[in-house]
Amino acid sequence: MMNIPYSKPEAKMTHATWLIRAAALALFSTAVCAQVPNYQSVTQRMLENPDPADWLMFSRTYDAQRYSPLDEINVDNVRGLTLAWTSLLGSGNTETIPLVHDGVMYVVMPGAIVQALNAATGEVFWQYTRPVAQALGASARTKNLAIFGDTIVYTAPDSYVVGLDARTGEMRWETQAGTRGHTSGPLIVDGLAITGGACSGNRDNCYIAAHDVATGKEAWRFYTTPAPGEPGDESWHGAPLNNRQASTWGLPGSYDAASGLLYWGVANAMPDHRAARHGGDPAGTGISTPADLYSNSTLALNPKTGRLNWYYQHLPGDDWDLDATHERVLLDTALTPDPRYVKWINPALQPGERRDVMVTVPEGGGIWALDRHSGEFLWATPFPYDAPEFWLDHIDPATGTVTLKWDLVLKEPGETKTICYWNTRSYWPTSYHPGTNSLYTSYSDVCRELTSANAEHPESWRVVPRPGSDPNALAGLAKIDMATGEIVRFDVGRVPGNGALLTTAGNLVFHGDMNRRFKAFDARNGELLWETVLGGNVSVSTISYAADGRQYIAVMTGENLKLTELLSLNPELSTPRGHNALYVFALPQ
Amino acid sequence: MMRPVLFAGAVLASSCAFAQAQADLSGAELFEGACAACHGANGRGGQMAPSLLPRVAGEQDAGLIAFLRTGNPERGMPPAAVAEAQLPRLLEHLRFLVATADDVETALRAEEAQPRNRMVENFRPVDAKSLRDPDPADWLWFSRTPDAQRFSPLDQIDTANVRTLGLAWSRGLPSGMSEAIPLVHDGVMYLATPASSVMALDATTGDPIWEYRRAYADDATARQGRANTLSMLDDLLYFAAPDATLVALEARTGTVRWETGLGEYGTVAIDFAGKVILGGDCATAPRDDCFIAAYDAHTGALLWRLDTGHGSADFSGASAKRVDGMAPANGTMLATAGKLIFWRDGARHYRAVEADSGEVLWQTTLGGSVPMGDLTYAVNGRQYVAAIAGVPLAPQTSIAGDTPAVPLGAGAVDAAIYVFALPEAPQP
Repeated sequence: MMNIPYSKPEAKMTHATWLIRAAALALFSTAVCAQVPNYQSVTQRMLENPDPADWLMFSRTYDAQRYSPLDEINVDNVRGLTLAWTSLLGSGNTETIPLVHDGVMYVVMPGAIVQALNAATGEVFWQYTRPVAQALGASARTKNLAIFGDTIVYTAPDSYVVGLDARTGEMRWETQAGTRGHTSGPLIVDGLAITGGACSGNRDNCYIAAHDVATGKEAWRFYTTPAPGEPGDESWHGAPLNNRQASTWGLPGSYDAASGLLYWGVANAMPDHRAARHGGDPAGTGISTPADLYSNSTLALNPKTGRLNWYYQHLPGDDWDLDATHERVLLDTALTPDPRYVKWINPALQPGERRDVMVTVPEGGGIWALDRHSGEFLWATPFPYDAPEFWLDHIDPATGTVTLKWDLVLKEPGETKTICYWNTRSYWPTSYHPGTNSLYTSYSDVCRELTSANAEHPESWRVVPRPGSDPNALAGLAKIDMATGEIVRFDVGRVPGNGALLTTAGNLVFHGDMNRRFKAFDARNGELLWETVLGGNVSVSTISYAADGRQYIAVMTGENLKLTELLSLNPELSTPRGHNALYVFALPQ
Repeated sequence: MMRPVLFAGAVLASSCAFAQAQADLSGAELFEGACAACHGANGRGGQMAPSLLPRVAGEQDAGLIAFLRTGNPERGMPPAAVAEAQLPRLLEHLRFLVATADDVETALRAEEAQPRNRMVENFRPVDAKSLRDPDPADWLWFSRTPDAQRFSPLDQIDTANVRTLGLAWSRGLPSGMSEAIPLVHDGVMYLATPASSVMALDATTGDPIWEYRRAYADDATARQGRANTLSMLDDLLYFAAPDATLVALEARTGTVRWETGLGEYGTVAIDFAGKVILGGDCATAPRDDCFIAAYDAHTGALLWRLDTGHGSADFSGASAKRVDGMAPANGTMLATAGKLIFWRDGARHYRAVEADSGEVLWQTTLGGSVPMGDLTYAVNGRQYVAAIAGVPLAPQTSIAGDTPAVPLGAGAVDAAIYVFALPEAPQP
């Protein structure tokens, strides 16, 4: 594989020399060796209890809390943040989250490129370029890398899981994972790199796999839908095997070292419509869970074997492409769900009872809290709002059985229905702050207007504001109290975001939107404390780390799949397209 | 400076070579070679051409094949560089792109979206007096004042506090040659972009007020524009467009008041007495195009022309003028009354140095390393320092400072403007 190690130019290099060197690199891939200095191997213990300075996985810790214990930047001084460095990136999608270990940032750049950078200065140690067609590289959507030992694991857009030497960027191994779409990223547990992927059109690709980080050899595979005769088969009512598709294309899963369980979310059932999967009959599968397993479910797997421990289905027999994939956040809390805020509460729950909880906010809306040891339903509530167009009819609070609204299922040719919600938090990572015992998520109050095909036209759809909603409250951030379920909204306005939430021990919440605004809020009350304006759309990414004792906030801007669609809701915006860039902030030295 | 002609030539050469060896290529590969460079990796539009999804979605196979054969020369689209026998395979991939774009309707609407121009509110014309002695808050000349001193009397940012300078805003700019120095008047920044459009931005946020997108014969013309600066007089903004046209835009709205042909693209300066004076680069132009000329600022009428391409001066019209600062340096320094010198080195660093001691007081790293014009101005009493950083274009390659070569397809933004200010006082 082509590899372009690189050393930084001399500081006094002339412009002409620099151009010549640049041209040489571009045309002849001149090897100029540079490697990460004093690399420290990453152990399982470090992954379970990371140095506060590091950001070793997509949401920093196995519990996917996305919380940084660093507090040098805090509510009292965040107004003084300055730009430490910035870098313009190549063309393509930017939907990724960097890792940081020992002052080195490992990040997927647009164009199927992995780089190791000095996290304090932006200087490049090495670069690995996946040799794929330019169009494929530019459309790549890899969400994150993973690190273990001295290996970086990269889910490349050509369906390979790739092991790179963390010191040099040289490829150690590559293992093809069918023709899976590698729009997700890996999570490493005990030396196994666990990955999902997109599988639209081919059930053979609908699986979660584990690869040995040392060798690249596949250790196990879990198909996200059962074949005939396997457990869960009855939920498909005899649908042919290739009509049983459900992908894991989004943010990867989480892991609880205490319980030894891996938690992974599965996306909608495909083909997208109930009728398409079930012989033309929209009633061909159930409207209550379980239906079309394990679509839109939480899976609790044994990370050593891939065996299913328990599952919980959030949406039975999806008809609308509402993904319940993406991260499952793990936290421990006393539970006193308040009926003023929470619609469905398990009656067996004793007020104030402490539980080890798994919480998730699916793309189609709603909030679910489950017991992460057993999958027992604890509470759930509509989100961002309860509305007649919300797809969920009711949940049996004693069992957690979910029933959808049959009225919203498309049944006739040429009929139009509006289904809420549509990508309300999409694949923008949520964050949990232990100090406020709250989950922070972005949301868009938007729905999907879907028109079924008829003799004259194919199926069509568009994203629309929720009927009757306030156009000036189209999007916002929510602080969800994990004990009571109370929702406090802040930064409410017209502009949705594509960025991750980040919470820090400085009592800060960071978030950026597609109008280039990157903001810091007080985690306790949502007060806006600091704001700057970046060059383009803020996309996924946002992390915090420290290098040489100095805390940094890193954020990426650029293209992602949802941007065009979301901009259609905000025709007044003029966000520059394609501004793929990395910005890093710090307090003055 | 690298000539952008290389860029256009290389694209042409690579697509020729491409057409000769495509028998075994898949539809995706054909698309990548023939379409993606302009229409973007997934066909949804790049800097050089709009989304092709609406057309593909809206046309039958036969019409599309015919379109691919002939191109659309009026809009700069060449015939697809794909052998006749391969056209169906390319078409199949185009249909696939439409089928997999989960937002074709959205793309259709985006296609219709034009810049939503607004008016500059409470615009105050720039008279000769304010040109001679500009408001300290404004930046009305490429080097602020007619004497080209590049000195700002603003001193809110000074040696005592420059270490706390934060990023006020940034804005990605389209690909092309970034050699422009913006103007600022009354809190509005006027900027010739690397794609040779002109934008009026809110100078406190970088949000656009209006954008003037000139129709060029081809994208290469737009991308090689090197208008070093704009000029203002009264309510007009003068822009030397790279299609050898001097354009007078209404500063309030960005609409064209008048335009007149000139030699090659170049720089514009303004004369106090109501003349627009223009010089330019004639390195690749006929000798006749090497001249300095003055135009009536209000009508665009040629007043005089000084031919610099011949041994003797050749005047037509009125007498010769001494032209202040006709050749802005390629790489500027900025001195301020805060006793600061702002400058950048070749490795993306942008620094503030104490003028008396030479000590580096503040430093950040920008996204690109090519030296561009910088300036300082004030709005509502807050002082800003602005710098444009861009990267040179090379075939399929973007070089961002000391980052390695990364692939550059259409749709890449490889320039940005960065604006710095001191932290705002905490809210009461």
